Amino acid sequence: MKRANLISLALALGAGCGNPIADDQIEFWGDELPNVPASEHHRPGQPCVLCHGVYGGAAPEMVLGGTIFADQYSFTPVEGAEVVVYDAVGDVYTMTSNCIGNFFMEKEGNLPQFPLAVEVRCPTYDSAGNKLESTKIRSMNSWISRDGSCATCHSLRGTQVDSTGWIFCNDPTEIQSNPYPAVPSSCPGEPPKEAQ
Amino acid sequence: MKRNVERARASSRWGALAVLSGVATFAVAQGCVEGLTAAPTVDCPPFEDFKKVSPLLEQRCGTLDCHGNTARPLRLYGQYGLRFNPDDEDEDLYTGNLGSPTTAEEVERNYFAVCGLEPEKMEAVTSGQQPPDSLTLVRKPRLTEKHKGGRIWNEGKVEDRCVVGWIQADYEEGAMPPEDCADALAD
Repeated sequence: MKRANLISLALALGAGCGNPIADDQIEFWGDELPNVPASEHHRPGQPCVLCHGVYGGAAPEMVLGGTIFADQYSFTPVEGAEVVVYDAVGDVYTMTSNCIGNFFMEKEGNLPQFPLAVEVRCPTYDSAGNKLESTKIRSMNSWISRDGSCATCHSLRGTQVDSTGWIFCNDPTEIQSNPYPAVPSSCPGEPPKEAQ
Repeated sequence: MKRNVERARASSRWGALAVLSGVATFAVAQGCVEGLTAAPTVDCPPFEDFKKVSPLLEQRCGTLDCHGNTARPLRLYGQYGLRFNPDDEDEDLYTGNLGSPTTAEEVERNYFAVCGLEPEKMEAVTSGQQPPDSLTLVRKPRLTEKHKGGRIWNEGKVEDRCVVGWIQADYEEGAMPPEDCADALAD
């Protein structure tokens, strides 16, 4: 009887160690899309480290992760953008976005030390849609203090008092002159449908 | 020391009044003024000088993933982070819009947050009874107190001197060289 009580107490204590805020956020983002398996192409624009972190427990554990979109009016992903991270001790890390715009850094080996300064080197195209050699750089105006999920601040809700909107490459005046191609049919991911 | 304390009491009256008015405004807005027999006050360093400190705190502490968050005890507003925009009155007040600089109201709210973080200790410090490093506001960025954001600056650096100088300015004449906060922003 005493042993059963101890087990019950241990279970109760274990159950009481959750993080209701993180749990609510994870629940908000819901299940996987039926036609997109859990992979590096899933959930573009969602806060990666929420699940791929110590608390969420999803593998692989990530230090940083996010998604690059074409402009602030659409969810066309940008493939091949280089996300360059400058950390607090002077080390530089580079990630490259995949066909759904996702990029991430797994938690292994040498890890960047916060705070981080970040710039995105966006690929460029001519107005006919041909890829050019040059890139254009967009830099963050503030640094990242501690959250590895880019989408925590760059949310799919767009610009708000607590969100600077999703990450994008083109200013409104550049949308016509630097058109990004649609998601290739071979890409297993699916861009967000609407602002969330 | 007594003279310092008297001077501090006299010169920080503005700060105390500012905090008092903020608390009172908040209380009225919340509809909880009934039953109050005395409004709370905090003896805080001057608001006028805080206007030089606020940009540093906004830039170094107020990002959305740290103190630019409504859930934080030290909540900071500013153009790089959280914006104060009740009822969505101004559509340009969103995070990262450098075309809409930090507003006077946001600076005022930062002042309330800083002064209200440890009100009793702040009063003990502004009266010269305790040293500035008894405040968590001073210790956390130095990482002499546990801080999830890590070390933000070292003791004696311009950023540290900007904050400590402001805290001391009210009872130590010349404690806040005006260039420290400007240098800290340029650093």
